[in-house]
Amino acid sequence: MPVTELNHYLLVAKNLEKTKNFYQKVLGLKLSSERPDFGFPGYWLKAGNNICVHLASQAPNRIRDQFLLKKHKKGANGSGTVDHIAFLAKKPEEVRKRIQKHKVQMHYRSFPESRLFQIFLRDPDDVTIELNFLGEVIDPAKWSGKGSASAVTLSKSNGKRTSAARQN
Amino acid sequence: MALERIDHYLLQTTDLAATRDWYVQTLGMREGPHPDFKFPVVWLYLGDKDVLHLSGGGRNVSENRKRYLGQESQAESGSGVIDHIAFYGTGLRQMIERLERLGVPFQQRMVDDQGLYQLFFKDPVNDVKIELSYANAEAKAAGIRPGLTASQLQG
Repeated sequence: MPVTELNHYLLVAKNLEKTKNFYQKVLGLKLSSERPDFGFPGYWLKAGNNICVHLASQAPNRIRDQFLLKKHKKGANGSGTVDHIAFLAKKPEEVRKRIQKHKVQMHYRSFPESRLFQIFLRDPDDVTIELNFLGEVIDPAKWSGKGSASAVTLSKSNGKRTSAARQN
Repeated sequence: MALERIDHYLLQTTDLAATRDWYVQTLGMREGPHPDFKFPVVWLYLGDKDVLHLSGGGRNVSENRKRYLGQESQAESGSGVIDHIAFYGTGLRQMIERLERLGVPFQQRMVDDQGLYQLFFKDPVNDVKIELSYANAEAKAAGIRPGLTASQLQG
């Protein structure tokens, strides 16, 4: 079964620090030290051993918008602050075929150094779904043009801020 | 006492069937059993776990649904259609004490035939509704009673 389990949600918070405090103090989630430098502020929070809440901030940030593939305006409220819901998945080729068969547009992103491949798509109500294929090293060039749209990658050079760039 | 994992999310949609079909066809989820809430729901599973709950949304949601779950928004697209996100954990009594101590208003619900005891409250900064699910047995053992059970709703 290619999509295997629910993994996390990402919330673009009105007030990042207050939201982090809520998840820590009220829900008792633990702050994870594993969050990479995405080039925009945020936190990962764990329930048990599972990182299940990702936080970003509504403060304007171009890299965040590029990375999340959409613009987030200040002032979003309620579940409108949820950017996406993420699942773990296996067998990316199989999943791609299934998505193409149903003519759903997707974006994808490869993190070869982290052995991670991601697919993004929108459900009929326009909710963003993220699929994470752990352990998969995929050459993004081989995926271009097959019903999938462009994706974004993050690059870092010494002493510079992280920047976002088109991957294909 | 701890939350262990993210459990499910609930989407409110103006087209239950189309949304169900999309998740089944595109993501390979499977429609499976759900409790009788006296309002239309679809539960979608990955393996043996229900991960996505669907209910009616938009302007015309049923009164039973409003009584049990409320309605966070009448949004018909985008992540505003997410009604709540649920976690599963243990330590119901401690969580209730914590919420009371921190002054977080919450509601209690019980899904009798699933053996689940639920707390609902808002992330006060962003107004996102959070559900915490616990085993009913914990509530029974601690003598904790809900404000409303699913079986009290009129069919």
